[in-house]
Amino acid sequence: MWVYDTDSLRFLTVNAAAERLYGFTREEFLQMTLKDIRPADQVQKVLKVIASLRDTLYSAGEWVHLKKDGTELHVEIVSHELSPVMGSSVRRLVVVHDITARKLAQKQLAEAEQYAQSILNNIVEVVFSFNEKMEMTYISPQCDAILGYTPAQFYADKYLWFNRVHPDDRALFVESLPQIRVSPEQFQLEYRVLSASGEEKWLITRCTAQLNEQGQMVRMDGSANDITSRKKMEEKLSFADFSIERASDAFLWTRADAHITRVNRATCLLLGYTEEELLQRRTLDLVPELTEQSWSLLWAKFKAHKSLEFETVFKAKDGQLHPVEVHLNYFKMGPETYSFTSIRPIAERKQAEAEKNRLTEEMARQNEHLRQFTYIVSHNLRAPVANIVGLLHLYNRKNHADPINSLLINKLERTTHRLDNTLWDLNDILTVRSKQEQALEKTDLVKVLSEVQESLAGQLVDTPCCFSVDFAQGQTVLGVKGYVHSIFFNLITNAIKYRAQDRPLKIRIKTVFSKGYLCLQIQDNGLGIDLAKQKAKIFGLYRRFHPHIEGKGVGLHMIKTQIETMGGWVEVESEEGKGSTFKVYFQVAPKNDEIPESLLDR
Amino acid sequence: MTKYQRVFLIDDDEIHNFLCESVIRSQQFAENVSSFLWAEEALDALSAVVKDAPHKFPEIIFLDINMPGMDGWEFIEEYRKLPPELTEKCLLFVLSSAVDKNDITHARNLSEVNDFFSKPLTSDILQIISEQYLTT
Repeated sequence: MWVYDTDSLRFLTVNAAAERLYGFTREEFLQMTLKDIRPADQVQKVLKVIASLRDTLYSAGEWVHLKKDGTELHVEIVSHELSPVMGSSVRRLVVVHDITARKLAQKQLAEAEQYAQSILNNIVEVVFSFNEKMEMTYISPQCDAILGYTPAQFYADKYLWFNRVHPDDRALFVESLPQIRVSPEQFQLEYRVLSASGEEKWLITRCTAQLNEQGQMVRMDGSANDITSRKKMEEKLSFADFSIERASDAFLWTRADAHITRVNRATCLLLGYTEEELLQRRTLDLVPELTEQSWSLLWAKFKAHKSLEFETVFKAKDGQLHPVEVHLNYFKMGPETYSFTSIRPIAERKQAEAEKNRLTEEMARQNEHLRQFTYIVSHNLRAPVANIVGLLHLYNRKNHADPINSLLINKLERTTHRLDNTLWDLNDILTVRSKQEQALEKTDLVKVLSEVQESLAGQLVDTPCCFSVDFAQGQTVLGVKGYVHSIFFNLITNAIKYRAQDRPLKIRIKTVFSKGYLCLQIQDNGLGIDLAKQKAKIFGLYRRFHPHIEGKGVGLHMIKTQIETMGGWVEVESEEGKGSTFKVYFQVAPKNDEIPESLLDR
Repeated sequence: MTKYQRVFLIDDDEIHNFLCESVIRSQQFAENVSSFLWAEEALDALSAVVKDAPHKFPEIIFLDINMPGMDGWEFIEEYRKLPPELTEKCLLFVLSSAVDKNDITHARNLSEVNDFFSKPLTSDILQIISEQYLTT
């Protein structure tokens, strides 16, 4: 404390405590005025106070003073006017109370509070506190952003939070609140809340009860975080997962090192492995055609294109091979690259394609047949009719005795016969064609041959013929006996008809297994045909190749139709002047003992 | 009405050849008629004429299309290779029993073919030919 002169503002006396507090000695104080212990900006303020009318005892409040070393001193000041002394001015006793420490503590507290508030303002989560009656006592301002309610609204309606919980999730609170109230543990709840605008928000709340010594809850603090987008993503993911798992197409995920990292149910079903078994395998174990080398080549190509599609074959656990179409999609996750591969079995498609191609071919063949047939028939039926018309034109009706008339009658007769024969031929061909589905039965070639030779006995007497026959490789075929008879008959009569005049006729007949069919070869040493010119027409209807030799051009066409009806085909090799070889391919009985083992896997 | 010297008939149908010969003779359409059952034989005969007696090259050829061995189309291929100064003066008619439109169009599109007629050959056809071609 000190005493000062209100006029001169000089210190008149100071005590030891003042010396200690300010750092000035008594002598120094006595040389100074009140202005000297104040920051410059406060001097005017203090002069004003001193100039004012004050009570005898005046509480001046809090001030900032300066110490000798220049540091600030927070003080509380009370002054008291001393009794006047004659002839002197007014003196006041000032008692100074150092409040620097208190001021500092207050300042630190304010800073700390500001700091905490800043943290609370900047975290995304809503922080809250409930009292023992579960009334809301604090909530951080983020509640507005998440739920559209201000803290003030929550304070006004203490149970607002619970009232906004989604009706379906209230049970969660009913169940867990009693436990939270008696436990010092942290609890975690995920639930839906309706925002002020009625929007559904997913929240995750972590909260802990503060318990007193009796174990009763005095407060509950916690936080709530908006996890709506995470929940939506989870929903999407689980939806995608479900779809992939239940998809009828097989999917598998592979790493660059060919290891399988995931499979869906359809893959397990297709390949007969369990999920665990597949996850221990590499694609190389499943695709027989893949090697380490071809896999790395494939992956390099895949990496460049990001997507690949090709057909391959998967081997199931039971060894069965599945032709499939695979589609690889490239993706990256973390440091690893993956292929998401969809696998589509195409056995049925392949089969259907083959069947379709077969039917298309068959149809094209039939159409071509029909086209040719119509053409030939129109020509061959019309030709004799045209002749008849022409001959009748020439007939001399005025003079029946005209010698040309008997000539014309003769020609008319021949033409009519030809027309009749043509009609019979067509009838035969149509009969074969219309019996496409005729049942095939085991037919003995040797037996049929001997019957044909018997029926040709007359011609064979006129034309001596040397037969050499070899049925060592098989003599039983699947066929229609009548057709087999016709084939032998036509080929042998052709050989006789078109024999070379300068050498005795030789016919070699043998069977050879070829491509799973039994091939009947009938070779002659006759005139032969120039195949370079005639190959395309040789089996055509009404095709003839040899001048001066009677022939209708029906036989070979008939053979072709018959063997095709029996599921086989016919080929010809021939050289002009040397002879011809006809090769007739027959189907063989599936369980025929004569089929060599090696041919059975066709 | 003898109008032409030489006519070739190329047709595997013997009766139709007889018919043609009879009509040509009765109409006195040509002096000489040669019939060929095989196109190959006709071609050989033409080649021989070219070589030995070009002035005896036929003025008219009646050609069938559907024939065993070489057919009418193939004959035209070969005919094309004969000396043009001879073939230019020769009238080539396709005479067929076919009623196929494609055949008719195809025949008429060939520069070597003067016309297409359906069988049988009649005096009317000969009339048309002599009216259309003899004057020019």
